[in-house]
Amino acid sequence: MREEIDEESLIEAAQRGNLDAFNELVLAYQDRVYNLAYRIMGDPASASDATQEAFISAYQHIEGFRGKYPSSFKSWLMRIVSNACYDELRRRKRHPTTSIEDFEIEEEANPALVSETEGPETFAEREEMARAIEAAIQTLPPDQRTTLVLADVQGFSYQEIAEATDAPLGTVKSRLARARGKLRDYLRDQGELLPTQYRLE
Amino acid sequence: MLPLFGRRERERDQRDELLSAYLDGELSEREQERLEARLSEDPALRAELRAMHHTVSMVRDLPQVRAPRNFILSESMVKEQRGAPETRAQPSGSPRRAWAAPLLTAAATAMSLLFVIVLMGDLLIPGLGGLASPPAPLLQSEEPPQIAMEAAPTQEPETEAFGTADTASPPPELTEAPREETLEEPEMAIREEGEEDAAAATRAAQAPLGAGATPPPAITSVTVHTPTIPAEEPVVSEEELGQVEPSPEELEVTPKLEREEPAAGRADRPPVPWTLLEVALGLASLVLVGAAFRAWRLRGR
Repeated sequence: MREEIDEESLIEAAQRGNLDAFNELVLAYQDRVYNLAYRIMGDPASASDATQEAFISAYQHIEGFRGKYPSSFKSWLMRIVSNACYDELRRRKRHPTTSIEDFEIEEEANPALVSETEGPETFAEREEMARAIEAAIQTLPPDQRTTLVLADVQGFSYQEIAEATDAPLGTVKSRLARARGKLRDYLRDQGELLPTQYRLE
Repeated sequence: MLPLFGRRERERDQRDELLSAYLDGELSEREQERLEARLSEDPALRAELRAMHHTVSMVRDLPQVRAPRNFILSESMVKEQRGAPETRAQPSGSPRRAWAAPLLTAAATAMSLLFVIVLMGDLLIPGLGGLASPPAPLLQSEEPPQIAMEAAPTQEPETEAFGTADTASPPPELTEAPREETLEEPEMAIREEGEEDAAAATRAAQAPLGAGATPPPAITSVTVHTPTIPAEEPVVSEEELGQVEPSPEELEVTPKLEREEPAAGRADRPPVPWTLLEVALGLASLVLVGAAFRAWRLRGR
């Protein structure tokens, strides 16, 4: 409750032009924002760009934010991020550019994924599985991808996704079902490429 | 075959939608009961539910990726990237841009208008220079000449006007001047009637020829015509205006007197300062239009 009140006062201060207050919000949300951007974009560099752009855009438009509760601020912020990612994906679709650098980035182990508590084998399997899922997510169309990430990676409710993606509840429901169905089919096709415990029946 | 395939696809989508929403607890009570009844009877449907559940679990188990760095914003990042809302620390250029664009547009419009007026004045007024008709209100004085020019050859009153210019009675001390002018004016008028632009171009090209013979006084002739635009005329020298203090008639005639001396030794050339003024006004208009255009673009960012 206290956190909510603090967040509200930070939002109000940011709306009055207090950049320090806004940076408090940046620190509180940057992991979520980056995570969403990373899962949608699929690579660290694009995710960083999208995250930075999203925070700048959020600061520029925070005066227009009229929500009263932190949860709606979260939805509002995530909407800005997903819009930034969505726009970038559509731009790429129009002007596809796959460079060698992209593959190099893909090949690098993401340090943020490293777990200190797991044994090397478990970690290797988990990483392999994570790569397979990430690749599967990247095959989805942008609207389904964003919806799936918001629901299953960010844990948003249908209502929050509807707000974040500016779509009706029914659309959210069907996009999510299609995304999950395609992912299931993709993993099913991968079959034996996946570690045994992760294979679908 | 195709409709059957489409129907299967739809059924599959509907099934996935039910299973997906069921996993999220987003079905209505009635929908949930019906689905559970089907699940208890249909092993294939149960297998699909398990596969869907497994898929969702794998996505949910993806590790949370932490931000690789802080994304804290600096003042410079924010300043560079936007026109800040009014309550914020304002980028220095922002407020200036806000009023600069309309102001520059107004200035560019005024300058262009002045340019056109002066240009037209140059083209048309000389033809009326000898007219004895009293100067009309200033703005009107720009229009009638145009009509007079076009109508000059056919309309007697206008021809008369040129003629009467000689015999008109100007203020005693100025009598010489109009005579000098009227000698050349009809000729000018006829030339301009067909191809005003060509005449203007010719004069502009010839201007340097007269430059040596035309000292600054001729600028006074500018002061006679330019007051057509009331307040905004910085080009007009105020001392000149104060100096001359002409009656309406004098306004029309004074320049002729001023021009008399230099004109004595030259042919029917218009005074150079007209051309200089036109060029200056034209350039100023261009610069202002460019500046206004840029200001709007900056403002739009």
